[in-house]
Amino acid sequence: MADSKRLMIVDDEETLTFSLYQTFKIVSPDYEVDTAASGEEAAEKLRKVNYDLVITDISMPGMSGIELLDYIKANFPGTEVIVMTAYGSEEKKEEAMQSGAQYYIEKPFEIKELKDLVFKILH
Amino acid sequence: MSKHFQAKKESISYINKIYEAKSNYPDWEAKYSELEAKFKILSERTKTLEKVYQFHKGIIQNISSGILTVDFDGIITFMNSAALRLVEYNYNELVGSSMRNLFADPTEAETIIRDLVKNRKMYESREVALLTRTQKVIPIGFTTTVLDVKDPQFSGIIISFRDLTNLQNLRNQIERMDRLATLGEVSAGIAHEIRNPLAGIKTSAQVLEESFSPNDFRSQLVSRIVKEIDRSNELLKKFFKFAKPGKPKQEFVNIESLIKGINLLLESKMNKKNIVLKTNFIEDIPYVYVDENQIEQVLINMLLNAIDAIESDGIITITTKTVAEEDVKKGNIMWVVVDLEDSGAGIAQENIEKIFNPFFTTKNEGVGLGLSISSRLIEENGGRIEVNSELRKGTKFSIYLPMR
Repeated sequence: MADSKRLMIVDDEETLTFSLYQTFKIVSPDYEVDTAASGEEAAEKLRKVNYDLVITDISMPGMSGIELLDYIKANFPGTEVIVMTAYGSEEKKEEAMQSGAQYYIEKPFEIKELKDLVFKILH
Repeated sequence: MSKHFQAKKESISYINKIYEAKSNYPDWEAKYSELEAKFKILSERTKTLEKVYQFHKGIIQNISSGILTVDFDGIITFMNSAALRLVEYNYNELVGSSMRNLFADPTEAETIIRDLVKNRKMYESREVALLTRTQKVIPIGFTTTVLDVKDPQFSGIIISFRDLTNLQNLRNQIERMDRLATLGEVSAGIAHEIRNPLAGIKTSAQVLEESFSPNDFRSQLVSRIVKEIDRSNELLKKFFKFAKPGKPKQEFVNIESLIKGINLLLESKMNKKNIVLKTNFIEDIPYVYVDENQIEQVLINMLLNAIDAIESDGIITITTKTVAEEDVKKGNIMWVVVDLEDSGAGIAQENIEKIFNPFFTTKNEGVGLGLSISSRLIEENGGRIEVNSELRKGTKFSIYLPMR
């Protein structure tokens, strides 16, 4: 599949990864969707396969979303990253932006908002 | 008539008696010069005594501390000007009465009097509340010393005290800041933990919603779930606002213009309740160095509270003034103070400090975050807030804003 896009959802909240997985599977059969429950699991998957986009939570046990973002920026510059967080403060947003996150979304979000953002990044 | 002038009158009468005796004395001319010399000496001593008396009186009456003396029955024998000013009484109203009448708490009064009078215990530093003539409760700190003089009539106890209202306000301020900061951290933690599963529920509900046709009742049910999640999320956002209000973007702001704009905004709300708004602005008010949006939010919120506190037909007064304060570290600090006073229901004393706590509310509507967020915002802008309230009379909030 020449136009196939690969994306990974990283969050320790299984309900969210499951529902996002279902969402993007429905959106386009061209999307290859993967999930990871931690930063470490995501890093391992990144080492094996190239991803066009990673959607990651910030606050996770072990490797945080910011650390994962740093890892991706250093090793996989072609991979785009959307950072999500349930924190409501500007500080977290600034921290993510300073680490090179170009896209930031606050939980709970409108699914349409995320779908539009993903479409914009991947097309 | 004071005891001092009584004594003076008596000495004059003694001198008159000497002159009467002189006329009956057979050898009066020979004794005259001796008597005259004695009289001169006596006059000089009286003048010196008078000077010493005035000097000591000046010290006692001009000292900023309150001084009160009681006999060993706890009866007030003297009060200086500072003491009388603080409790708002005249000298003759209190001297001769029991000191227990001065205390706000009768039980505490009995304990202190028993300790002082019966047990002869001396206090080096003790805090207690006094009750003024106008029923105001004033915190004081006092020390006691035995007044040991030769004449037992004047023996007793000296109580010197200072008004601790300002210190108490400062302590409350620091305690409140600590408490709110801790509550802020906890609130932010809880909000984060709740928003995470909410995100999962909302996304799942929206995925489900897309699978039903819009007319399907199941679609409507799911859309209600999403709406309720959004409602909960709005509340959680307020948690964050309270916990971490965001760094203020400080600039020089004309507070008077800001207040005028807010008054205009809330004018119709006040008219509906027949509330009269009075403003007393000082001329050429200095600019304050604050985040305009944040302080506007604070003032709107506080004015809305004032409106809510008045059932109908009341007065809200907004006063501006400058206040200079001495700070140990920063030296002389100038503040612009906005006093917002309402003639509303007032706040019970036991609730005064609680009003700054999140979720404390006496209103039927609202979650009780307004004042706690306002307090945090003022604090973030380098200011502080003080409150004075009397039940059924009204409440005055004083907002201290920095000038630089």
